[in-house]
Amino acid sequence: MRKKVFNVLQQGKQVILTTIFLGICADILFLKESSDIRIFTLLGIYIASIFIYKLSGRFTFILSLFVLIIMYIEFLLSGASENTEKAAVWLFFLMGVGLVQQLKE
Amino acid sequence: MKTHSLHKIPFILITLLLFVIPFFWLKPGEMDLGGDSTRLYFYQPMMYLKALFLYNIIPSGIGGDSLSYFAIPYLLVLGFLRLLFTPTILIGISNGLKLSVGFLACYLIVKELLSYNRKNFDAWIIEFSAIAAGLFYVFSPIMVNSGWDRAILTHTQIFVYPLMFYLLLRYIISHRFKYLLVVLLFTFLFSFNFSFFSAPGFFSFFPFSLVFLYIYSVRVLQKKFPWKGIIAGSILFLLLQAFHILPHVLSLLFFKSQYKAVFSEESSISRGLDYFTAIAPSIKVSISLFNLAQVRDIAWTSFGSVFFPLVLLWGLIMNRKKGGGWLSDSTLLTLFFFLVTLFFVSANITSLGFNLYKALFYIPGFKMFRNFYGQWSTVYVFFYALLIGQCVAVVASGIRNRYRYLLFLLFFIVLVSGAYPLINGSMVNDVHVRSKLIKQNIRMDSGIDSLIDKIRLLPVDGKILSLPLTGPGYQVIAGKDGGVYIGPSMFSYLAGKNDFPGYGGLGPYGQGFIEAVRSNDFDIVNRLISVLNIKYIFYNSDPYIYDDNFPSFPYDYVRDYMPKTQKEYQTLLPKFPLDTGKTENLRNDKYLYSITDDSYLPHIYTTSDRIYTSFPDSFILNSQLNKDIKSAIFHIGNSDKSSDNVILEAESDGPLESLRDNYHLHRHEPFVSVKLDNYLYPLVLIKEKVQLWRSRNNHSRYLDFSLYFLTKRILELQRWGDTLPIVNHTVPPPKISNILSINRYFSWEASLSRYESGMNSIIEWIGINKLSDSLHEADQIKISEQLWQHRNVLTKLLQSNRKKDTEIQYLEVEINQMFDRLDKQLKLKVYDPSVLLYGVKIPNISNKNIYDVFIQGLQSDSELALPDLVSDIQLDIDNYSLRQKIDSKSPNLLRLGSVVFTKDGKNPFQVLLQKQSNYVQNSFWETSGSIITKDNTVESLSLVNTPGDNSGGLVRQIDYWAPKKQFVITFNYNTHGDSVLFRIFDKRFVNDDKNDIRRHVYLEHALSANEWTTHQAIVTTDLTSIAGFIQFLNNTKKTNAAIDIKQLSIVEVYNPKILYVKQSTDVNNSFKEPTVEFSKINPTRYQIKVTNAMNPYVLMFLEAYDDQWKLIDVSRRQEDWVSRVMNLLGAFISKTPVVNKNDGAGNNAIVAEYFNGLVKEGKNSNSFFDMRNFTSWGKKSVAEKGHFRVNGYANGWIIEPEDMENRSSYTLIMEMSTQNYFYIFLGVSMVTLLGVIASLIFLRNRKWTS
Repeated sequence: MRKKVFNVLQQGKQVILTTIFLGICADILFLKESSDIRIFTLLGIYIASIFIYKLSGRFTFILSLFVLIIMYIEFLLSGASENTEKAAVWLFFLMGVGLVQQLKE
Repeated sequence: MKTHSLHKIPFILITLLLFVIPFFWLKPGEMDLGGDSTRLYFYQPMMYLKALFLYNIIPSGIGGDSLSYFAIPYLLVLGFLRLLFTPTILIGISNGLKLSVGFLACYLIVKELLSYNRKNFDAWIIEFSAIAAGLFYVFSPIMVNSGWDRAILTHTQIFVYPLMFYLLLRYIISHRFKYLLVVLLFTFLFSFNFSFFSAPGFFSFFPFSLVFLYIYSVRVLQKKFPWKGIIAGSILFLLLQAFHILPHVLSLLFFKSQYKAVFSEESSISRGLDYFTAIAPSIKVSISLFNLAQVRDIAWTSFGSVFFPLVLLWGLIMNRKKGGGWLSDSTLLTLFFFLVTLFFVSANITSLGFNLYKALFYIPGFKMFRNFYGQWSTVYVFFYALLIGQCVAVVASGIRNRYRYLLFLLFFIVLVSGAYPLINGSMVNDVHVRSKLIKQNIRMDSGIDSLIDKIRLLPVDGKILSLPLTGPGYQVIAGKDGGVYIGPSMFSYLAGKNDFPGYGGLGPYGQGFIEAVRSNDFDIVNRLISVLNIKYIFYNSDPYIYDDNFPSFPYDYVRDYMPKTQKEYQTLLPKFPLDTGKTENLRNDKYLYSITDDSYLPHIYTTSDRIYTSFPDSFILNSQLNKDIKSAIFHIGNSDKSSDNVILEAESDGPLESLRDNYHLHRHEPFVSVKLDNYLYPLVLIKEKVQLWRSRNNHSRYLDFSLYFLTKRILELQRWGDTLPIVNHTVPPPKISNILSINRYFSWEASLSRYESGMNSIIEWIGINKLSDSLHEADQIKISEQLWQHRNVLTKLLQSNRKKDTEIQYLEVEINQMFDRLDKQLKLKVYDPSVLLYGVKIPNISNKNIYDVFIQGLQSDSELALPDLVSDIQLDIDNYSLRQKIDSKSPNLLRLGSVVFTKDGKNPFQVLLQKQSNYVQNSFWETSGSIITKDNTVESLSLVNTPGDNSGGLVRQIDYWAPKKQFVITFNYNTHGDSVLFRIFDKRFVNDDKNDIRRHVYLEHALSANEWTTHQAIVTTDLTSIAGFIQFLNNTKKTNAAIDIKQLSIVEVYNPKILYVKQSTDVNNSFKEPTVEFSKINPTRYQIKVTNAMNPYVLMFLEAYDDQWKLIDVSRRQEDWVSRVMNLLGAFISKTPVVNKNDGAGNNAIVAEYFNGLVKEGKNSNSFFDMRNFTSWGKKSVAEKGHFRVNGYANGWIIEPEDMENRSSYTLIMEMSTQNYFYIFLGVSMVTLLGVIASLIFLRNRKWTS
């Protein structure tokens, strides 16, 4: 059973990672207020994906790069708005996760 | 070798360029002085040193303790450089060092970090990456906006801290002790960056830096960490800094230090956490990541700032770790510290992170980081620079050559464009805030030097009052070319003369002084001049520094009381007690006036007249009670003899006393953000409970917090009321066990129920925890006012709510019933303003407690011409009932009779005032509506106005409305079910501008009753208020409403002083005043020769009270071992060649005489190494038990003949005893410094390892 679940997860790597990324984007761009529970849940899922898919620190930094781009666009459009701040917080956590990954690699 | 040298050319050029740039910021002769920390040390370093840094005394205002030794080495170096350069060049050198050495240090650090991976990087890449890091550090917008404009002393941390880091890095790499010695020398030179005052900068930078260096050494370099060297260096550091750190440590441990507050829990919360919570929302994580300055407008150049995090991430993506092991990569190590400092500098990283940050404020001392953004910015930018330097190297090594050039070029362009305001000097060429574009930078008028010299050489050791008076205590002096200096007084900080340039420095008498000037009461003004030891008045009549150029700052609040223009000042001056024969025109409209001898009290004098009172501060100002200004006024707590003169002022025990300034009308404005059905909402409630629990020992704070949180319940309804359901049944307040059922909170009924329950709890709480009956009544009035405010909010909310009419009617009934229930529960009584409650504390001294009772102040408003103000007065205390008739001819101080107290402690009593004036007797109802008088007592008011239109209704003016008065408005009403809005408002001047009159509403109460109900309101009028009104308005959806009112009364609340006077029975007719001759050795030491001291007397010293001021009898030694050691040490130091061998014996010059020669003032000096500084060490301190605070702020010693072994003539040294320790610690630091220098010379060119 465990193996089956693991296989399903392995096969759905792209879907799951895309969903996580879209979840981050949605949190930054579309959801009104900042929520710790949302951030830490998504981050937890992402950290679990790191273990499952053996993602590298480099991958996390690339993800951070996308978040930085979103943050910059938000900054250009609305200054240091709530959305920009949410992106900044995501950037902080992703850099932290990337750091830990690279230290372990 | 040649290529190697070529590499260094760009960095050398940039370093030189950065050093030179600041020299172009200021025009020749120009200086950016002023600001909070003055910077006058650039102008006259040695004078500044002598006035402030050598002594632990504040040289301005009434004086006081201040430990400011930390800048002595720096000021000595500046003093030397000042011999060679102008102040403008000195400022240029200081700024040049900040830029160039800051750059250089970061450059060298990054070069060092990259050199570890030298094989991976081309030499040019290392070079340019290190340059990029250095430039990033000094040109970061955060650093550019870090306070270059009139920078404070500790701004030099910009270059000092990175330089220390570099030298420490070199030390842990090479293990050469000489690096550590150089570090120590730098810490000595820039000791202020390692002092108590720069603790936030120090503790934000060095703990992280040392951990970084440790990990870097052990993990990255895989070298042994030189623990022994670091410990030895730390000990040497402490010894080197002993001269300023140890006085602070002693002060914190053993003396009554003002600095202890930093570690107190209350201060951590009230001044730390509260401040942090207030400013944190404006600090943005994104702004920090983009390396931009917080709380500034975003310039167009800021849009290039994405470049830095982009390079950073690019570098991290391309980063290839070489070698194994945990934390073996300096880039990742730097990234870790970058993220940690990002957390500290921005604070707003998730709610969890923010709450964690807030929890840190409960650590003693963490309060220093309340202005967290400013405190952590240096270390944040520093680690950002190190990280970016390494990332640039990684990126550059992975791209082609031409892209490298583009990368460096872009980097340079983005940085320089952001830093352009600094490079072109506009950062330091600003104008004064809220002025008419007056320049901050000044070129000193050539007369300023001579003016300061003139002040410095004034013979009499008296203080100076500078006019025009400012708000914060700043001096305002115009220079040439339109610049104006605004900063601490040059007279204090350069000439060393205590000066009162502003309200802030006048100690406890600031408010009394400006109020007396405003009310033209020059009897009080003259008394204050005497008591504050003011000998001179300096008047700067230059209109450029007052009048229109500075409409607000720095005069602010004080301008409401003092003359508005220089012309008005000129009419004010003759009212001071000036000795016109001694007036001096000092140049350019600056005048120095001398105070007449009969109005001047010298710095030191004696008196035999002692008065013990419960109100020393205000007693001084009371000419009817304090007839002899020379008298020593002690606090009643210091009285220990039944024969003492005692004057007690009864304390008002009425509830309205604590409601002055409309404390009860305060509007809580909490922010509600978490919706009632949010699953986090219970956490909000838990947080509120915790906050309340923390305040449980502070009565008013607990009450305020409770009302604040209850206001949140109302604002939640205001914000989400439209979507909140109505469940049509009562919902009990949720319990802890309901924490998971979120919907329990999500209805109108639930909110109202929780509000009612909370209000009931606080009503019950004030009843159980009442401090006194009157304070309980005050609490009730406060709660009642909140109930009115909340009722208004809900009434208005229902009027605009989008719910169905039936639902609104249902809610109206529910809300009205709830407030009626709460009113009943509150049981607020109607206050009777004719009964004044007092209490007088009778000291436990003897059985001779016969007091004369006086009343003072009932006639103080005679200008209002109220003949029938109060016609009769009755005072009831114990078994006594004292009565007096009062009319317009009654004296201001009226004796009511005598009483004998049979018990000590607090004796409550009451004063009955009869026939008080009703202030609406002569006015009529005006504007729209009609009045029908039903009988002689009831008025039926018909109110015609559309809801929300506040200009209609019926208005009635209040007679005899005056500023700063408290009124009680009482009436009975019946609205027959209508809703009527009752308001009290006034017309007032805005900013004291008589052409700008605005309306201000004090309170609004929505009245609704079906039977006769009593309503009462209390207001205190504003200082600028000119007319007051009451108003009734229709508050229904209809076009009109009606209200019947009767017994409308508006009366003023009086607070006359009730005084209990006991005359001394111990009159010594043979008393002879001693003769005193005093002279100043330096600000911490005076020599006093006393002759003919046959009786007890009080030695007065008009300087801020401090228990460390001691009187030393130089003819006697103390016998304990500490004193013996001190005595030997003092004798040794006094024999060293640096000490001036003046013992004062041959100095007979007298500069002034007072009180017919009873007090003589000798020649004053300011000698740091005078022999008399040391000869008193270990000698006997006398009259310590008789040392008290007198006159509300000063020092007074009661000296009995026994204290001086019945000698009648003797010499005393009055010293600030803590200054003695400074000499010892300075010696320790000097010896250590010599040792460090000697070691450095010894180790030169030797490869010594630790």
